[in-house]
Amino acid sequence: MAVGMTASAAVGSGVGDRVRARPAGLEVADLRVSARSGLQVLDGVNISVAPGSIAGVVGESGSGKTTLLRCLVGAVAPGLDATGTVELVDEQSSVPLLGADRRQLRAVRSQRVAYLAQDPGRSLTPTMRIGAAIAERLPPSVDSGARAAVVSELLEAVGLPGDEDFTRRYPFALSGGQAQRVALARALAASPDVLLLDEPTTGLDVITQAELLDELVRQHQHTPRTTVIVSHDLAVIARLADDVTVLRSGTVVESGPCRSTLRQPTHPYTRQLVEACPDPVHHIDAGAHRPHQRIRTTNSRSHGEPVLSLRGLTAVHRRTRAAPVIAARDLDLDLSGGRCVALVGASGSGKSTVARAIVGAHVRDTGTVALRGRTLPPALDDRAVADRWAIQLVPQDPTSSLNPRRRVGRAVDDVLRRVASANDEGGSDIGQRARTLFEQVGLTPELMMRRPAALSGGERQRVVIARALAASPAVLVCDEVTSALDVSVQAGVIRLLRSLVDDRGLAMLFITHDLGLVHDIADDVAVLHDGRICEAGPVERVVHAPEDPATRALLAASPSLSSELAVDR
Amino acid sequence: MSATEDRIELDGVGVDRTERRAPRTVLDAWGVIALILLASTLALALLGPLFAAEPVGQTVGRPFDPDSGGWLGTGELGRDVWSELLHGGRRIVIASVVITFIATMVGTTIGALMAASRAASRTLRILDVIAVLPPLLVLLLMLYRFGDSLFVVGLAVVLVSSPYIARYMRSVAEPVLASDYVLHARMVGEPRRVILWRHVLPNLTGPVLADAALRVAGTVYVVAAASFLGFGPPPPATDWAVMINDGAAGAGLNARAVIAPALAIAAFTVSLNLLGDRLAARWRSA
Repeated sequence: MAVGMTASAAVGSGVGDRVRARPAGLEVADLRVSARSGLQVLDGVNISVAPGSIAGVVGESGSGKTTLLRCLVGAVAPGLDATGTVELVDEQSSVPLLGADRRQLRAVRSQRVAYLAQDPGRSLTPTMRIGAAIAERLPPSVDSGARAAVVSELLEAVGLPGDEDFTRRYPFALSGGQAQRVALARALAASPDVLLLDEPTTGLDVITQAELLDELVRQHQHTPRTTVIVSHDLAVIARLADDVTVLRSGTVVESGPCRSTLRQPTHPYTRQLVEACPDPVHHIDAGAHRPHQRIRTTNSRSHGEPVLSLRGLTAVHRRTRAAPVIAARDLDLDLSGGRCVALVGASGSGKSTVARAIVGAHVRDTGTVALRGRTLPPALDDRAVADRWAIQLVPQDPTSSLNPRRRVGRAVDDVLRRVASANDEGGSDIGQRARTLFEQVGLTPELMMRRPAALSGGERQRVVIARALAASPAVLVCDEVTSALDVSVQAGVIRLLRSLVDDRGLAMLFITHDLGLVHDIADDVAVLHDGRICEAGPVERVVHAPEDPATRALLAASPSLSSELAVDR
Repeated sequence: MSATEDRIELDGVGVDRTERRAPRTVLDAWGVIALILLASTLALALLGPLFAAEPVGQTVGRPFDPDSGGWLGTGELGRDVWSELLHGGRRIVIASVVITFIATMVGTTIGALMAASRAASRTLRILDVIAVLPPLLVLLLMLYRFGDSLFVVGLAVVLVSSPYIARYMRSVAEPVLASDYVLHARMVGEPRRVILWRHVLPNLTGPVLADAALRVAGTVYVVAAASFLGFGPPPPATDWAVMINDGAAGAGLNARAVIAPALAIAAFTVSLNLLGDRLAARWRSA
């Protein structure tokens, strides 16, 4: 914490009596933003952020939360019209931010309000060394001799090395977490009065996320700075914010002090968000209430022989411009019908490579993949068609897994027809079977005539699941299937997948970075660390009594709404 | 235009994931203007000969006389500019479209091969050597070597432009081939031709069309340049490029003799450029 202090001291010494972080608040009254198409992006939003407090804004895709944040720097995107007032208020003055002229806005943005956009990689100029990128944002009053020192103190303040070796790096040589911190250091360089953070932890793995959150908390304890933080993740908001505003389709459905609001949400939507929030800890107490818990004990169809076994699987993801990622080394794993195994690992650890090696899209380096005791060839194209059908993959991004030019009903038809013709069955009932599949994954058959672009993310993911089921697989490999979905949508997809395991007796490998989800879907969990399984066992045991340090670290870093709310700050 | 921005703005988590996308249209105001312009130029070029008052090569008065002949006056040999204009579009327009179509087919095939196979990619890299040659130089060399004909002009255009088309197609085909939906088609054992026709090519039509529309304009310039340099249609036949060349001499007497064909070529190429840009933008945002 000293870090924040030294940075400010250095800035102070360079600038004389520069006032830092003047207590300033934000007042938003009746903010309405509409698109020219007539769509109301924000509809009468009122928010008041007290000086030195942290305001959290929670909302799902399309709730208008990014638009709101951008209005707070007066940056309404072209094509949108904003009315209402947004003011930066301090003891002496109040500066209107909406409709301010360019010069005023530039002054506010360079000195008083810092906005940290969602993807930090994009906010750093690729051809600029990070030291220079931060120095650029320092106030001109800092002596040229002192600038390098101030830059390294700012970097240390966000938990990065401040040495020359690091400041001379280019953004491509940073990890996602480092880039996020550099962007934060850059935002703090001008010592703004107000800090706006848009989804600051999205795209980070849980451990990096936890470190960044700790850093933000430390910074704030040292120098309280008015902060607005936008996130879809309630646990992140609960960790940081004093007040919370829940935004849905451009309207505020609920707002108030963060903890009490999230503990006892009054609006049904807030309650739905709180309930849908994945939480590794939450279920310790609530385990008995989970519906599928019951089903699982009465319906454990675990046959003796595994449907799919991996033995000594080693898969290396070779990248063109970076070090290869060893996704798996010497991995052993068995999947049986009617059971779901969760494979948990940090983002970027190569989990997708494991999934692709199983289906044959990535040629494994060594080891075997065996389906009902028969070893399968490594490459997809060498596998028998029936073996390909038996193992189906549901990839991470439903948008790229559907052909944009093909109606989604046809996507399912194609597979059914392919299977039927190979089995010499008639194709007369294919339309009916496709409709049944759509209904089974919770979609109305009317959607079959649409193209993927006309579906929501959750609907697309369900289509992909229906398409996988059309091949009547024995094994379903789900690769981070919910990471592109909103929490409320995610819960539905998880329920669907679990029901497939229970009702169809599918063997499922559920790959995720989110320990919070594991509880809701899996019977067993295997934790992947450095390409090896460091711990495996039944979910209850691994989540509640982890033995391996890597599992413990992962659990400790996993955002948990219930444990955030349990602690009194 | 604003639809893109709305989408970015609405987007909560970086990439649009759940918002339904507004259908995008090629036809904004400029798109409509371009379409009207293109339709009228095509009508002028293709149907023109039916409406020409004078037959090809007919002298109607003194050279470069604004007052003889039709409303555009007369040109170099005392021919009616309006009639010449109506006669002179067909060759350029049809030749450009046909040549571009062939070049696009050749380039797309090469590009698809390069995207699909690493070996092909390495071998066909040789084509890049052709890409560095100045098109006009290649054109002139070929015209001198193989004789003066439209076929040779076409061959030169195909030769010079297919490496570029191939490169472009390779870069747009690669992400499609690597997409999860192509992977899925392989996972259910669809044969290669089904993958190609059902999943790959339909997703390339947008970029192919956009590229071809822009390229027709480039072909017009090469065909016109050949005519302008004296490798045009055998006299007395004429085309817009020849008319520009001939009309330039008497621009001081009857400026319309050079302005009219120049405008016709400009209308054709500019409208194609505008439409091509719109197609490309639509494809990028899709």
